[in-house]
Amino acid sequence: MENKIEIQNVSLKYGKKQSLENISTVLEPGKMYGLIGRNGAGKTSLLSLIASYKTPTSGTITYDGEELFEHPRYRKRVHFGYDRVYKDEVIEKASKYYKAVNKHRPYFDKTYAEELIKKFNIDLNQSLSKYSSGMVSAFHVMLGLANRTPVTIFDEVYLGLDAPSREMFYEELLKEHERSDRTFILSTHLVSEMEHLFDHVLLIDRGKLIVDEDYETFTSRGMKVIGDHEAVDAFTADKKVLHVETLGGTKAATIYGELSEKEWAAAQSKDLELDPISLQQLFTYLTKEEA
Amino acid sequence: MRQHFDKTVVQELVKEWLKWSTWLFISMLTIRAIFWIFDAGGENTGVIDHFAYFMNDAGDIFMLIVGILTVYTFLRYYTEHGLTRRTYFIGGVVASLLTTAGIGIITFLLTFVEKGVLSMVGMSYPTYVEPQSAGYWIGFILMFLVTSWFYYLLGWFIGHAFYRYNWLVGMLATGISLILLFIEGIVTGETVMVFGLTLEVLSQSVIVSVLILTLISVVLAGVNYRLVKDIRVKMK
Repeated sequence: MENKIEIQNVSLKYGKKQSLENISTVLEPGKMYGLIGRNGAGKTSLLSLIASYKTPTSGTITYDGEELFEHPRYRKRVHFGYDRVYKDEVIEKASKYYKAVNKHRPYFDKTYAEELIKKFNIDLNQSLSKYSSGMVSAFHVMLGLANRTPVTIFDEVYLGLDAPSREMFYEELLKEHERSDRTFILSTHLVSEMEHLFDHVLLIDRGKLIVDEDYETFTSRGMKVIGDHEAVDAFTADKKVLHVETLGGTKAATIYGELSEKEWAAAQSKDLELDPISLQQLFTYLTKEEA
Repeated sequence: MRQHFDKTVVQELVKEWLKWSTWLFISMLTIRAIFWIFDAGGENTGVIDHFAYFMNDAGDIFMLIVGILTVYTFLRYYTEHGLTRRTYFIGGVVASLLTTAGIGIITFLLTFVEKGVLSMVGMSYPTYVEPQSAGYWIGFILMFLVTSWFYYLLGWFIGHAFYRYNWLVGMLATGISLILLFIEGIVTGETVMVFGLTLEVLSQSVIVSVLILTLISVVLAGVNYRLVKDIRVKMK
């Protein structure tokens, strides 16, 4: 059992609106994926397709070579946690919902769940609809982690958590990542806070997957060139410039693309400073550029 | 199909629906008790038949509501738990049959309990509500079960149409359901009025009525499956 998800040429349309366009990627087991994109870029649409909430307009999603949609065994291997609002629920009590998860999810680890319930201070005796946003987030985080599904999706469920709780969640994620071969897909706006978790980056912009690379490779493509105005201009003339800042005679240009050894040497000889940039900056500049 | 059958889903649905039905029984028993109290006082309250007959229409409406509510309460719930639409569908079909049977059994037990309680408090079961022959009861039980299941499937159909499409298609489905209800009325031997016209009641045997209604229900189940097999599950 590989637990590999292959997405091939997937498109999704809502009426005339193209939500996703020709997306192809492979989600390998044991990796932590960071799915980033601006609001409305199509992140949740893609994740809901993986979780079989809907069918793509075209293209296929397979799990170990078999179609994932409506697959009785493989569907249970995917957990999709999203910013769910609990309102007018039939399964009103959190404890009842928790028991139902225990019944339906074959990989659910009750001992681990109880550990997380204590850690995140989750009150199972309350009604789900009466939970605060922080408690809902903690509940989702607990379910996602304790479900121990081979593929686990967290679509911004942690936004309601306060900073210390989010930190606890990141720690738990890393521990779980270390001791298991689970695939995690984390969709987030909090790029700067979470980028240390990512093994691989998927960047969606306006329904298109514009980046599908491992974290190191992707972030190494972004570079800030700082130095004399003219020297920076000359050095970046044939490069893709994402962002420019000037202060007096000094200029800082953020470029995107690989630098050859020769270019590194040229930058040094012209007293240019080359600084790496964060994933957050790269994400901002790449998606802002297209806006 | 067998791979999609999930015993836990059936158990969960039956348990939940029977729990909902306690409200139905409490309400119906209360109304029935009020009727008997007034009847004992000499007023004509319309206690004209046994408790099972009295429950029949209310049970049907209950199953119709259960069908509608199931779409909005259990479809997303089961998707969240990694179950397929087919599991939800099969679970719903089997559980509705079992719930119908469960409600039927409770109803018939209460019918005899009612008779016992009335004799305990010194009231005799009037002759006009006396149970009839064994053949009558078998026919009645079969019709009770089949119509209840038919109403569940009808509610499910309306719920799925509203959920899958927009309100317009939902209203269309409601219209189709009304036509099906007229047909059910004709099949079960009730007098059906449409726009002031009285439709002739078919005088076929109970078994034929049961068979026709079962056939319509099976077709309705098929329509429900078509609606749900690739339905978009709403996240909000």
